Amino acid sequence: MIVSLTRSGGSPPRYAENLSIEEDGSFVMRRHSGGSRVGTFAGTLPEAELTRLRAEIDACASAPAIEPSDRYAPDEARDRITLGDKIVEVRLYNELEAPWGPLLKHLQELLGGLTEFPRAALELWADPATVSARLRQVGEEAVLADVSRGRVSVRLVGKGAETVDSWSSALSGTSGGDLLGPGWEQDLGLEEAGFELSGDRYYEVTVECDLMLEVLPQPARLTSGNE
Amino acid sequence: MGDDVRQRERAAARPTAEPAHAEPTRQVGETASTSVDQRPISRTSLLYLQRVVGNRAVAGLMAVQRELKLNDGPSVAVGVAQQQLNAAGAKPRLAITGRFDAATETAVKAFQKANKIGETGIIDDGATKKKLDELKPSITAGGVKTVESKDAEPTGRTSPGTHSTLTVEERAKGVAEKDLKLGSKGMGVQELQQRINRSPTMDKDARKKRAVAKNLLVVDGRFGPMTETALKQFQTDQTIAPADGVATKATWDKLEKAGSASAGRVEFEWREEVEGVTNVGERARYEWKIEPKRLLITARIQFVPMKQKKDKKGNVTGVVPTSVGDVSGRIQQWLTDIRQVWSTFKIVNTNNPKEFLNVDFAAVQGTGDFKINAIKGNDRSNSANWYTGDARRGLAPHEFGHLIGLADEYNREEGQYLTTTGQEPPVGDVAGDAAKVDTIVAAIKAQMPITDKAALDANGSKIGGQKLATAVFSNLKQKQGGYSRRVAQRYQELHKSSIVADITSAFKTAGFPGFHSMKSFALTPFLYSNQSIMGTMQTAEKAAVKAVGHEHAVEARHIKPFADIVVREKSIERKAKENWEPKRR
Repeated sequence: MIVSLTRSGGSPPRYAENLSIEEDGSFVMRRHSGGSRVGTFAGTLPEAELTRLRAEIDACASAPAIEPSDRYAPDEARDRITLGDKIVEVRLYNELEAPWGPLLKHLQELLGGLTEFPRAALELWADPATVSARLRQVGEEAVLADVSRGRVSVRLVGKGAETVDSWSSALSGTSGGDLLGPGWEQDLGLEEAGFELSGDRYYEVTVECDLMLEVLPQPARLTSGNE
Repeated sequence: MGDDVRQRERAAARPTAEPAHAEPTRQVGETASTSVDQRPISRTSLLYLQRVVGNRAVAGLMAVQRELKLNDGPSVAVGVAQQQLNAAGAKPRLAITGRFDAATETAVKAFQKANKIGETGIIDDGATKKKLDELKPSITAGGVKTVESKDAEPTGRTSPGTHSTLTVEERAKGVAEKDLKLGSKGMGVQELQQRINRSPTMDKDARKKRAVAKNLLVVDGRFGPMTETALKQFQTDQTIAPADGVATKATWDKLEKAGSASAGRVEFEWREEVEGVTNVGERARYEWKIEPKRLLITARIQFVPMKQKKDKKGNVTGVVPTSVGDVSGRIQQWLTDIRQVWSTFKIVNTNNPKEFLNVDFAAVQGTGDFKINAIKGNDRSNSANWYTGDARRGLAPHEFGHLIGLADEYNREEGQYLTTTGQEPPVGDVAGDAAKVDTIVAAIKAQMPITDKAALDANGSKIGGQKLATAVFSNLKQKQGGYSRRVAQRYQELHKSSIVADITSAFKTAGFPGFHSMKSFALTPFLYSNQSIMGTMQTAEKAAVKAVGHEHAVEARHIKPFADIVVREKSIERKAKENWEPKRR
């Protein structure tokens, strides 16, 4: 491994996001929150990305690590870079000066962008035209997920991001998890909400369920919408 | 999709001040397998039994059910008795396991001796139970069954005074206080001026005899030469050295006893430990104002408008600034949520119950106190970043609680839970196989120190510390309460150390000192939580779904620090010890 980014903390259920990149550009990533895909992602960085990353890593090689503060705000979330034996930790979305700043931003971008390389993941797809969404498996491998205690919720959003209306429903599934393989998908039945899109209103949909880490039900949160 | 649990909430039609949650029918972690003596006997069954076997036999049956003695349990009834005995001063404290062990019997005997009841070591339906219920009644608060144990210190504050301007770390380093002095301004100065005016220093006769500080101060919040002169006089009168006209902590300590104020400002540092992470906390800041009909607590929040940054394919890659119009609607809803959830109590003068003040809370937009990113987008919020798409109504009120100095009430170690809430830890889930306890302890101990230290394995299927988390979860799930407490108790007996401390230390040594999902799995069963506004924020259980707007409530202990302001000021003003208590409106 040449570099990794770990995101942790936040209000419960807390972040558990990990990205680990190898010398040859191969990477593995585990996402549980922060976008429309969660699960395991893997692949090889495009050459341009890897070249840029190597330059940023080289710039940090001679820079001192930034000692993580042992003081936490309540429910604080943090990003941590591990580079060799150096650890740099920063409160989520706080800025860092060069050379660590560019590396941090790049890794944060990769944490989102590399969800284009699913290995065993779930995707929340939202219809841009009507209030409708589907949860589906993406990637070559099956994903073990427990949606038996999960929920789908929809927020009808108005001016200034205010909540105009909201609706939620339980998901059905098998306690302990189902192995969801390629081709699996489920309509989330959002028409039940009866929301009509008009004017500047849009909708956001959130699915909360558990991704299983063997027996451990790791809380996951997928979000999408039509804005 | 479960049709039976669909919920809907019209945001525009939120109730204004209704209690924020209904009493749950089952405690956190309590399961249907909880022992027989907790099962209610229906009226129909009792009548049938009375007909068949007679009144005396039924009364006997009921007595047998209620009698608690050595080796009884596991049951919630034993757990409640342990809570009561602890609250009554059991030494050493009992582990609330729901199992009537030898230590519980000893505590019962001590209680009986102290209360001049025959020392049987048995809690029967007679004198002992009656006395326990009389002295330390079991109540339901914050969604859990508990017993009031001591005065809560819900702030977990570490600052020695309300007017310290330093962080804990600054004070430790010997940094000088940024005290109020010539040129200062604001609510703190206003409070100082009021207190000086109402102190003996500004007594009419005292002023007549002096050449300086002859006039009452104009309460304008500006620390000018007149205020400085009056403060020097006050310091001289109170023998505070040096009498230099600078309001240090020593001066404030005297001011807060010498003269009352109707408005003021409070700042202090507070710290807590959550999930084994120490040094969690921040600087509380708020202003208070006693009006004829209410006490108003105000905190200023500067919302910084941001939005999620997305790449060409729509993946979230960070946050960037945006216009206030993008988030203004949601900000107003957060402010409304705070007002509605928090402004649900009044404080009543116990000497004169007709005299009361509503306690109103307001978060207002403004600079000076707190800065929070209001992020247009949808993700998990944290204290510094609130997402417009985070629909939990408890989000803003919970975080506001931190801003005004209140600590978390979830996933706290037993002693911290007790200190923070002033209540005995919940009995929780007591069911479990006693014969397996040693095996569970061994399985957990075997995973320390942590060997799987890589943050993520090469397959992306294992996270650092997962083995230890699995050892705990496989046996205890995330059930807090009696059975997990028994495992922790046994761990202590066998290894002479705390399981919470050892797990925390194991993760720290492996390179995970902060919040970590696997540490959370490993520690959660051994910690305590409630369902108050400062407790757990998760509400959606499939079997008892709550709507988005149906969140956890503020409790009396959360209001107490603010009631204490009124007690202090009214006591000075009326020259008599006042006692005001929070009551739900």
